[in-house]
Amino acid sequence: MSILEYCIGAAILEGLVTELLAVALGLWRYRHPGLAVANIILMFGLVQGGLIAGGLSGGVSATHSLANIAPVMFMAGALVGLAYEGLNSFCLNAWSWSERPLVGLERPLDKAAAVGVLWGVVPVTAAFAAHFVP
Amino acid sequence: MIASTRNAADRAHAIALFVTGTLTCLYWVLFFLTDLTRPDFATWPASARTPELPAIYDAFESAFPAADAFTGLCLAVAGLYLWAGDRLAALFGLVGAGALLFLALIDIEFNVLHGFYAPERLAGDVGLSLELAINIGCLSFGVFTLLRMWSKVRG
Repeated sequence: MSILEYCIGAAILEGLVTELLAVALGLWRYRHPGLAVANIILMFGLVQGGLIAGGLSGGVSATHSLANIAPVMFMAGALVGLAYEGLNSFCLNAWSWSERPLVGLERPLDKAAAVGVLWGVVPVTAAFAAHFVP
Repeated sequence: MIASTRNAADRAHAIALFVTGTLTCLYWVLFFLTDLTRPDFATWPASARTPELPAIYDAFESAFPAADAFTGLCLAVAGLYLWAGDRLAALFGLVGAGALLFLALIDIEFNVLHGFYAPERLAGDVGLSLELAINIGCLSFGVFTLLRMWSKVRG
């Protein structure tokens, strides 16, 4: 398997864990259950894992390490995440937040902003996981 | 669904904040994946060429990504809040604008001290021309955002 495939696989795994945790803790719910699957495969796997983690960590020259590019991966993942959360909050309404506070945040907009930035963790962890696979 | 602001100026500023964050990210993607952003030291006049300058430049630039990520994300979050017409836009906008000005001034001082703005070096050098455009853009947008967000704080 290539680095790109490992990145996609790791990100899909992260997506699966995230969605299971969200169900267990009652953090958000989708308008349709199929949207959760699409989110895991498309947003976690292809965009965050494939495009950002795989594209950046695979394309970087030999003079730069993964640690050099990690902040850029975080920034790219978070920017895409913020756009995604914003699009959902203002237009799509594909998922909605429950009444439960999320690490002290109660307003849907605050949750969208915080989770938007947290999306940046996905490509960074996926890339590191993929590069440390024997 | 969250309601968005109806103020056209706020909407335009929100888009500009998000675009600035995105362009910051794009610069670093290009920096790591291509040579487009790198000054073309080989084309400089011999009198201006010092063997250690490319290494100094690389070391200096490689210190920026985490700080630029913080700045870009503050601006993007400010954009999200501003789009919603939320008062927290001012908080993130002021932090983001302050960080943008701080980074721009460090960069400008480095460039001035090392003669990067000299016309004979700028001519035909895509990396340095991009650097100059970024410096001007960061300064002007940083000041604009600072003033606009400050006016929001004052109500």
